[in-house]
Amino acid sequence: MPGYKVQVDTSKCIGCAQCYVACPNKVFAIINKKSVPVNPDACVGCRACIVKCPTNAITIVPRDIYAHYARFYKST
Amino acid sequence: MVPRSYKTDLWIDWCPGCGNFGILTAVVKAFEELGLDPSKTVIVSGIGCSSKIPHFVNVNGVHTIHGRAIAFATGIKLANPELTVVVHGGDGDLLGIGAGHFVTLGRRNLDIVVIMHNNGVYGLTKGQASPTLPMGVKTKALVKPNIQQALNPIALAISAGYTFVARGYAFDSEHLKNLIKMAIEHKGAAFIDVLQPCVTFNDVFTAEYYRKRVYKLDEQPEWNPVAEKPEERVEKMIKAIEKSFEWGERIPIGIFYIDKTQSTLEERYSQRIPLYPSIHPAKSNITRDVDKPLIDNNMFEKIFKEYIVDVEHI
Repeated sequence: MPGYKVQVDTSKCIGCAQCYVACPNKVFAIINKKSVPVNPDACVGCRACIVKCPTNAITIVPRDIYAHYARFYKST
Repeated sequence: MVPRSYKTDLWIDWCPGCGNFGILTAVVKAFEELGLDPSKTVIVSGIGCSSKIPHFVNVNGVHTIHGRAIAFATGIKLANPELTVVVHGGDGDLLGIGAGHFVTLGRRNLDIVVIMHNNGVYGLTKGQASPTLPMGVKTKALVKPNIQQALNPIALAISAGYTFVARGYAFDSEHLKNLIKMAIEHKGAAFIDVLQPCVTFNDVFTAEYYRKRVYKLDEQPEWNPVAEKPEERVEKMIKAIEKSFEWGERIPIGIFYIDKTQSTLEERYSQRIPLYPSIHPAKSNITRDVDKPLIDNNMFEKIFKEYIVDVEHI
C-alpha cells in the first residue's frame, strides 16, 4: 500500500482545526481540543495539513523510499 | 505473488491538497491489486499538472506533447497488443487541444483506458477556464465570469463510442480504484472522468463542494448500465446521457455505460489481417543472424527488379 503515516505532536497542537478544514480526505478529527488522525489510511500524502498548521505540529512519515525527502513532510 | 511497489522515489511536486494525489493513490492501488507487470504496462500522458503522473508511477511511461497522448497510446497498443495502456490527461489536454484524438479513440474502440483529471481550469498556466468549466462561473484567476459553455465529457464519450464510461471522485480513492480496475479489465476503449478539486485556481469546485454533492450510482438499486444485447444499446445510452447532465445539488459518480456488443480495433484488424494479434510489429524480427538486415541490397534488387530502372548519371 502507498502508505503515509500522519503524526500530530499533541504538545504543540492548539486545536485550531485548520488541518481538519484543509484535509481533503478528512483524516483528522478534533477530540478534546486536539487534532487526532482518526482515519490514517485515507491519507494520500498531499501535505495540505502541513502547510496550514500554524504551530508545526504535524509530520507525515512517508515510506522508506521517500526518506531523502523527509524534510518536506515536516512543517518548518 | 509478492506485492510490488509501483511508486518511484521522485518528489511529487503538486500543490498541497491537490486532487491528483488521490488519483495517484488510486492508480497505484489498482495496479498493485491487479498485479500488473511493470514491463507490460505503459502510462502515456500529455501536458498539464495531471500529466506529470508517469514520473511518479514505476511502470513504463511516456510524457508526450500537448493533446496527443491518445495518438501515442494508439500507436503503442497497436504495435504491441500485449501491453496494458493507460492514458492520463487533464480536461484541457484531452477535450481542448486533444478533442479530435479523444473522439477518434471512441470510434476505433481500441483497448485503452483514458483517465481524465477534470478540474475545470488550466492549472499549469495560471488557471484559465477549461472546456469543462460551466458558463457564468467565476474562478479566482478569471477577471469576469466564464463566457463559454461547458462540455459534458460523459455525453461526448458515450456518443463518440467509448464502451466503458464512468465518473469518479479524486478523494474517494477506494471507489476510484475499483473503477480503474474494472476499466483495465474491460475489453475496449474505457473512459473515466475524475472530478478533481484544484486548490490553487478553482475556488468554486472545491473538495468541500464535491464531498457534499457526490453520490454513488452503484448504490442505486434501479441503475443498470450494462448493455448486453445490441437492441439494448440505444436505450442504455440515452439513459446514461440523461444521467450525465445531472449536476448541481447532486452529482452522480460510478459507471454510466458499459457496452459488451462492440468489437475492438484489434478484432477488426485480425479479421482483415489473420496473422495480426499473433505476429505484431513489436514481436516481428528485424534482423537475420543478429547483425544482418532482414532485406539487404541484393535481396531488395531481386524483389523489385521489375521496377528498378537505370538512369544516366549526369
